[in-house]
Amino acid sequence: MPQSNTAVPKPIPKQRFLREMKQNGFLYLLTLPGILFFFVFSYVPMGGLVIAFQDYSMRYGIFGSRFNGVDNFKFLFQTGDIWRVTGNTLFLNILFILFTTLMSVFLAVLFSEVRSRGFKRITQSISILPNFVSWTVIALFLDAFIDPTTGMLAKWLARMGYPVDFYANAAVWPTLLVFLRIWQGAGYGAIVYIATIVGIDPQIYEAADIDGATRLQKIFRITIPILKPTIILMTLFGVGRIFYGDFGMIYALVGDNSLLFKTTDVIDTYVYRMMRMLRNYGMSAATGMFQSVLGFLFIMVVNWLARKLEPDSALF
Amino acid sequence: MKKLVALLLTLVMALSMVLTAASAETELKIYLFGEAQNMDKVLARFYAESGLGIKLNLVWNTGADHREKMPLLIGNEEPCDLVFDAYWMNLATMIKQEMYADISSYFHNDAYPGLKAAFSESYLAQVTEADGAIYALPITQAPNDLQCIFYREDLAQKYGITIDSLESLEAYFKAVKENEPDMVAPLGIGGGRALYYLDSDIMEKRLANVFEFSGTGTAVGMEFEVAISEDGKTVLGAGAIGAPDAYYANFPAPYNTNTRSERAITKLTKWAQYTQANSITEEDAKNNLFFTGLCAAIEGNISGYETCKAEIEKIQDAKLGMFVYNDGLRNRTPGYFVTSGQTAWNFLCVPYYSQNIDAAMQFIDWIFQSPENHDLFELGIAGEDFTLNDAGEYTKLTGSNVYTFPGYELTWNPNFIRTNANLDDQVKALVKYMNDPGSYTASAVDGFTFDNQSTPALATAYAAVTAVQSEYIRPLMHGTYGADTAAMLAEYWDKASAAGIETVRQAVMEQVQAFLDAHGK
Amino acid sequence: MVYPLSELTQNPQRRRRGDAVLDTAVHTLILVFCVLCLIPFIVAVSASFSSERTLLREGYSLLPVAFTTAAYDMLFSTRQIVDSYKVSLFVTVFGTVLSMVVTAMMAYPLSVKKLRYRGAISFFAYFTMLFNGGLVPTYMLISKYLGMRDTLWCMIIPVLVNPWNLFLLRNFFSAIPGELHESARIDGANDVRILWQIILPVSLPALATVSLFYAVAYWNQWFNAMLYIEDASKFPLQYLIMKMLRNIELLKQMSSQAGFAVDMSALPTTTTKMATAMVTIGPIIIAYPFAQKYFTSGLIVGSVKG
Repeated sequence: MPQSNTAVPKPIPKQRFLREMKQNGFLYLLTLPGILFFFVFSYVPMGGLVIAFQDYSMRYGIFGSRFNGVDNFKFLFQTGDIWRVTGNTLFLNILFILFTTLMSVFLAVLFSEVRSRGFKRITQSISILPNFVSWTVIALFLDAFIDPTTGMLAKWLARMGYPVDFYANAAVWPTLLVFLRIWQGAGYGAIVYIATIVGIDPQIYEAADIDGATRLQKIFRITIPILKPTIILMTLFGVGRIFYGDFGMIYALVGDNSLLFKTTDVIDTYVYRMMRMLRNYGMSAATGMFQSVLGFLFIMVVNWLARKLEPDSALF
Repeated sequence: MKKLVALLLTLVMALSMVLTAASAETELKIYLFGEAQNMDKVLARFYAESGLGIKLNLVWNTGADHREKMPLLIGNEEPCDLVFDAYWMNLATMIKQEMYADISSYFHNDAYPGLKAAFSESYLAQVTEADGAIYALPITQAPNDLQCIFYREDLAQKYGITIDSLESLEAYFKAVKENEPDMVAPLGIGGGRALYYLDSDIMEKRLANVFEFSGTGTAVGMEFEVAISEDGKTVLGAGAIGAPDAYYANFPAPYNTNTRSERAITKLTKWAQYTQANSITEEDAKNNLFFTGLCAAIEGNISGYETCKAEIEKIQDAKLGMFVYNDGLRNRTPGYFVTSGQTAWNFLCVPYYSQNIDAAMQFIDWIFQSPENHDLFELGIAGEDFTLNDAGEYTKLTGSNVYTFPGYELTWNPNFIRTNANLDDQVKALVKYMNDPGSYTASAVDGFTFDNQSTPALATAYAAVTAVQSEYIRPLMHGTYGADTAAMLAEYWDKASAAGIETVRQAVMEQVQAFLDAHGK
Repeated sequence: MVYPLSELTQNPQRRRRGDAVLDTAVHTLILVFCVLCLIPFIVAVSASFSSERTLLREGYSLLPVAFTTAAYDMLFSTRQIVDSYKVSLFVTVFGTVLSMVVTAMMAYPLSVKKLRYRGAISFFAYFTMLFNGGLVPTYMLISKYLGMRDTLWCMIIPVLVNPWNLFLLRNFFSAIPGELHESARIDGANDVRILWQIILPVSLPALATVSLFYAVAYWNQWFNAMLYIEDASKFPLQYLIMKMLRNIELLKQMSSQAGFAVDMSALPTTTTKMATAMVTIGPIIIAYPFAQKYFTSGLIVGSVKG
């Protein structure tokens, strides 16, 4: 199409939109089912967020319940403990993200360096096993390790001269939780990275060989940089959920052992205990809103940072 | 002539409608939790015998799911005619939000003889609102259960100890501790309750008009002790564990100081030395420790006797002993047990929108119309699932085809209790005592439940204090703090005060007073 | 297969020295990790074949104590478990396929850089991970307005697209070298052909990976079943198991709380917890090696002519 003269006025948004549709209509069409799905199953129910501001009654529903301002939020801030549990949530999640990512990448690189296909297949299958064991079962095992009288680890530590009463000592639990998280999730989490590595063009490695690179150099100069977008994506996901504690894990392992709350109590377990005798949908919704808003603010900042550093890896 | 024909036609139409309505089957959708085994034959028998044209569609949720799911389901007005609820599930909130129908008109009603026989006015008093409405049907047997210690009779004999007092119990614990190295501890405790009942004076306090109220009727929730005047009309004061003695000033002696704190400091730490080291993580001492032979005694209640006996005898040479540690109850003193607050643990309710309320009530009425009807649903088919002896005591048969049903969700009733024929005499006597209404004395606070959400400020304070309690009360009940108990109590009370425990305390006093005023005798 | 191509072109002398050390290190580390993963698993299997009392008394070990299949008998005693396997299988297979189709359809355009509104659409999808209306409106929507109660669809449609998987797939698509697009476009292909004939075949590892994630999620699903399904013949496996376990927990809890005489001899408990873990993991372990083939061996991206 011949270029019009340069005095053509800038296309108004509507024209821009139409032109975009004309050019890439097919691609947008492809996204339609997904968009429809999100609209129906995520955005329509989002109307329920107002419950956080309502004196919600099951009988009268969302449209019939009275608004009560921020009353539903007050219980969270009544004692000031919320900041401690939020801190715990953040702290633990940061540790989890950091160490599971490190470990998963490490494992993926290790696997990629194995030449024997059989060995790689078998060990990789084994590495994902822990992911499928539920936390309640893991809790039973943990007890077999750390019980002060019968636990293997506890007895060994006592013999070494460093007795640790795991069930009363809150300070060791962040470390313990991180170990458990790594054990449970590193193998399964490595799958993503393995799949990425597999897609790397071998010619890149060939070129590096010709340049005389050692294996270690190839790992650090080629493999890891290519993993960077995936790593950033995984981390961004983690950050979006950073104010949500892993309730299943922590409740199964810590339960109601209040001696450990100082370091292991996260927002979800804290609120769960508070609401055990209170059935109040408004207050539950308020908690969710608290976590969502904080997470939203966080991810906006972090995603902006990611866009600056690695534009391709940002979420949006 | 035309008019006559018209009249005849109308009559015929009306008659046919009535006939079809009568012969039409109503299906009741009933939501319970847990599960029943081999229920089909019982249902078949019911359909054959009742002649009511009612079909039962029972849906079994798991316990936790029932609690989550039912408010949503009923909130959406999905088909449901009968549902189990309880204060430890959602009952308080559901009633408050008007989700259940008022079924008061079906009681004391000659058209429903079964209900009349099973549910007396006094029994229903605890669920009758001030305006006479009834939103929940109580399902209980005895008004309460007897707390006791289950121990190893064989070991007691080995050390030559007869357990008939707290002193001898302690001697037993000492003996076990010194001589049984294989055992983790003499007394296995666990859960939130732990040492709550042992060596406590709750029963005696009630005799002095001091009652304990918790959040929703579950033990060791947020508990306040409330003193009522002797004439049952005025609230004298309220206190709780950790509170300063001043709160107890108006209580009748010898309870005019904080005896709960006292108990935590002296008695709990005493008994805690006989428990296992990490009891705070133990959720199920009975199965994990007692039945495996790792401990020599556990806390329990009389109703659990049969189960305990069957399980403990799986250990070689083991025999089950039982000790009701409250003297008054153990000696079966009439009228010793003063009831307080909610005595019913389980309820059945009808959702407000149900079209089949009549049928639902007819069904329940049928169950209580005769002991045979009742036995059908509670025990099964005579001869196949159970047998009765001459005294009317039952023996449950075993086998893979045997009917089991959680009676505590439908059939339990104080007027329809059968004793297990196989209990030994001492236990049987206690069970009979437990089921005998004469063992109980009514109180001014029967039927009181605390509404922990009556104002937003209260709900907020309640949630906040619950959080503080979840940190301190469990270790307290387990005696974990040992020598530091007094200090930790003080720390707890400071935190609880900051969280608003005074708001809750005031609300308790106000609500009890309002209750006394409304139900004043 | 990715072969670190060191053995092809390297100086043999140099290779032997440094590589041997690295190889040993790599293999040792992997072995250590695998042992750590495997041992608890073996202990769980042993526990599932052990007698409950002896297990609680003496603790866990690598071999079963007082061998018994009681836990498994309990699990398989109901005919229901066969039905549940079937339901879970159907939901997993059908759900995964449907999810992959819709997800891939949405992910690919988001990876195309020239698409003007891809940032907006990405945000639209991601936002749903941050804010959730909660159970009350969701239940109303699914049960009342969409009428999915008691159908198998309630386990598939409401969870059809997982944003996490969506963005993962998008990233994989983005990683495909632009040269492929270019050379195809130069050859005159339109968007449809590019997607179908070039992108998809090359993305096999990515598709396999995301399919695996979806499949595992569908297989493990129980929450929606708990809320919406009452017909026992439609229970998925995980829900059936969860039900069994929860009933046991509740009965134990109640019998120790306030006076319910329960026949405890029928209750499995710890060993059954272990057995149930095996029962659900079993099919995954069996199916996994087949899927593994696809994402540990990619197609050589060598179709880009220099």
